[in-house]
Amino acid sequence: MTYTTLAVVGVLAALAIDRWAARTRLTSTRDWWGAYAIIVFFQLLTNGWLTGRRIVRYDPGAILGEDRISLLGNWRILYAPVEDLLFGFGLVLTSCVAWTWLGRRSEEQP
Amino acid sequence: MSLPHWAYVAMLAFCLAGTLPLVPAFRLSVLRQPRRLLLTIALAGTPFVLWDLYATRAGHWWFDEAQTLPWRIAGLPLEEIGFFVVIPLVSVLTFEAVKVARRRQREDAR
Repeated sequence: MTYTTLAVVGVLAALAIDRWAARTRLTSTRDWWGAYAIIVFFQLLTNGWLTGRRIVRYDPGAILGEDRISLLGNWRILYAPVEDLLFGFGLVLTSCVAWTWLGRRSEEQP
Repeated sequence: MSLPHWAYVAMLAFCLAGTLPLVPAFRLSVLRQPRRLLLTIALAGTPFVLWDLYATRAGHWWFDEAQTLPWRIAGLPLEEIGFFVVIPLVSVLTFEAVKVARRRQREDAR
């Protein structure tokens, strides 16, 4: 499987956990989207550092873009493959869902 | 170790430097709940570490040895493991700070 496929699966899995498994429904709250807006801005900056400096490099066969590391375009945003945005979305959402879910559980059984 | 070896560490330090001040600024209780925080990191970080292990073995991405520290865990740079601790932490801190900020905003509006 390519990074592109896995990244889409990652987003769908994170959404499914939020909506149906943990039932935290953070993706229905302005709080979470507000936090994500801030996080994604800094993700673009820090990911730009990792990818623009070539600290991490990608197999062009596993991503939508080509080997060319462009600032914008070629399926890259601030040097990072667009797949990284999906990966980040999944990781950030899963983290906040786990945190919220664990908080609710401890409230239920003090 | 020369300066470039610290390039990935620098990115993680930047993430922490930007979010840890949110704890005193918004009086967040996140760090006073170590059990909930560690479980969050374990629940959210583990599947993404497994994805990372698969992706590096499949050759989807790889790391520049000149810009990472020499230590490796299961073939991953130590920083990459650190990434899956730091990102859940900064996500939760940002999310909690936004929740406090928005609650204050609503109270002020009343």
